[in-house]
Amino acid sequence: MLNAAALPTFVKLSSAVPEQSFTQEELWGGVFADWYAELPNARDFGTVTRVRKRHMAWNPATDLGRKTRGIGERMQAYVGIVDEVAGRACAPLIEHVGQEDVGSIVMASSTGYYGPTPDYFLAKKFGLKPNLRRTFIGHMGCFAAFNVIKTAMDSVVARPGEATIGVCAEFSSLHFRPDATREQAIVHNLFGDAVGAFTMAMKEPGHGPQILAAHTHQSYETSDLMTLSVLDDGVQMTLSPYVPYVIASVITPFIDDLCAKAGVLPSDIKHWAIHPGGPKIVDMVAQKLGIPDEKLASTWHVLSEYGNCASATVLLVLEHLIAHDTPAPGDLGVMLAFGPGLTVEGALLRF
Amino acid sequence: MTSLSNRLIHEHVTDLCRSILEKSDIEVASNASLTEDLGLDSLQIMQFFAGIEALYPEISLEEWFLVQGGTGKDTVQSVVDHIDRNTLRVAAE
Repeated sequence: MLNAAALPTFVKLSSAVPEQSFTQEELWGGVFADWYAELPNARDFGTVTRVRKRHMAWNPATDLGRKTRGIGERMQAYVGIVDEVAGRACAPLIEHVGQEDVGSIVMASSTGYYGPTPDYFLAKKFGLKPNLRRTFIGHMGCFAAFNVIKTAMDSVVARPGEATIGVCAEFSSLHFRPDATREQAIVHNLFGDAVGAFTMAMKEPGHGPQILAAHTHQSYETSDLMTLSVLDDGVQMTLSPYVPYVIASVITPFIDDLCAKAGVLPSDIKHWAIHPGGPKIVDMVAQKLGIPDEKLASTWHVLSEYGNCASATVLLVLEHLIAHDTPAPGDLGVMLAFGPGLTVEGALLRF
Repeated sequence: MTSLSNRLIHEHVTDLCRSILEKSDIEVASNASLTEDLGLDSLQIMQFFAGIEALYPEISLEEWFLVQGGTGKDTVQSVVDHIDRNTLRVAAE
């Protein structure tokens, strides 16, 4: 019965990025060489992250230079950029589904705060119904696409006649700071800005990737391995070198549990959309799960061309995978993301 | 009182740290954090894990980094104690 059943389905995916982009060479030539002059072998950070280019709301060279900026200035910049870029990401979704059919909007961001929250202004921009259900999910980090997805799933299961818009909008460049530490150098050589968005609706097979199951795992002993702290001058991220090892240590049972929820075998998975938190995370997860490198093309592409765009990243990977990996109808796929906690989130898809 | 095996493991671990850091003459304190004080980055942590695996193939560091991986808790002595404890356990099995 499951095969023909209507299930929560990504009926359309879309994304957008800030207009300005910088290669790693441009960033190093512009300001990073200055910021990290005292760190030995600092230039290596520009290559080990496997990031080639990133889109950024702020140009670190001209918007920061040698100084940091207060949280107020950073949030002010967020207000302007989130409306513009998330608007561009959502426009094709609204055009596809029609305003009247959208019952809910769910939005996540870990890089900006104001109220009414940005989803309110998106709804206004696109003329969505005044009785629209809105949810804003803040500060959960790189895996927050799954909190958006699961809230959207609940919405469409509860009200199968309505569609839900999901949005993940992240502008990490607004939180860059000229701290000359190895940890911050890695963060600043890895993160970029993007918005990933989708429309979800209850659909039978053939309308887009259906979600067969979702799964979560929190490791409660590892809370300080990855943190997001709101400081007077922005949101500071910390990232321990142990993160890839902890994720790798839990990933096999995680996939077993995710697949068991839908009665499929891990060996049946043909497509992988993995959040490229960093190259070592992807390498170690792939090694543990026996994923061949050609199945990681979308993950590596997004890391190279956009960087780690926090919660938006896995949606960019899925969008690229659908366009370039051309899954056949009925193929199974897995989406994965990781973040503070440490937390692993995943979803099992049927294309 | 520190056992002979604990002292030997301590020597192995500190030698490994010096080798990874390419500094044969530095003092590696028991309470030094691998990441905070010695400054091992993710690539060097990988070298460290590989080095421990080569020295003690029966020991898994997974339980260690899940508990001790937090800020400042990844001390040299915590690794030594983990290896010592588990070497004894493996020997008893």
